[in-house]
Amino acid sequence: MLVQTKYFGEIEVDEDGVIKFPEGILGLEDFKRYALFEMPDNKKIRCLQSLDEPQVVFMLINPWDFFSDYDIDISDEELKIIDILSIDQVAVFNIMTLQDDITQTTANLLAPIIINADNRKAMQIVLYEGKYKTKHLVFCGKEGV
Amino acid sequence: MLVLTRKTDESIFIGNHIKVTILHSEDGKVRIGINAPSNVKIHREEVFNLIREENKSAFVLTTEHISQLKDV
Repeated sequence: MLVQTKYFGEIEVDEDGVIKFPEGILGLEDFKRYALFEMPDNKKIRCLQSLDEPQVVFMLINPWDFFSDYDIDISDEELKIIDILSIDQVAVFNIMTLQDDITQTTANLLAPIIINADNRKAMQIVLYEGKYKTKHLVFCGKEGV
Repeated sequence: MLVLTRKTDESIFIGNHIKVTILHSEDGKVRIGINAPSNVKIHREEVFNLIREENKSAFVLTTEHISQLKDV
């Protein structure tokens, strides 16, 4: 399907790229459908474009591209909310908060986006408080680019 | 909102499986014990508020941000 994106014009996204958030994303519970696609100029970054509200687009990273020791523990019960029964079905992304000084851009490691790769259902999971926060520098740590 | 008064060591049930017990209270602070099934997630309200605020600032992007992302 052709998706109208906020920054990249119209982009063709196949049906696999349509992600359903039955409970929405925290703070944006009204928006349930998003298109997920690679950023055209940087394949390490994915865009999560709301299909309900064109102004809402998140930039995501695969956490292990930038935080190789990222370690999350999600209960089976929680994974069942989006019908995940096996680890093979899990895809994990984290939302970035961009800053004008790009080196100050952070990723929210406390609340990852979990996607069921089979049925494309997704949810934002809140990890228990511990080592991760809502803001971790992405581009100026000792790891990453 | 349902408002109940409880003394120390008294509990309330939420549904059949969630038990909330007042363990201690002093100087406006209350220590609460919660017994709940493992599929019930329990967080302080502040954590949710923090994530809501972070999400709301995360989608406020500019074309300048996007063009800078090409080079990282």
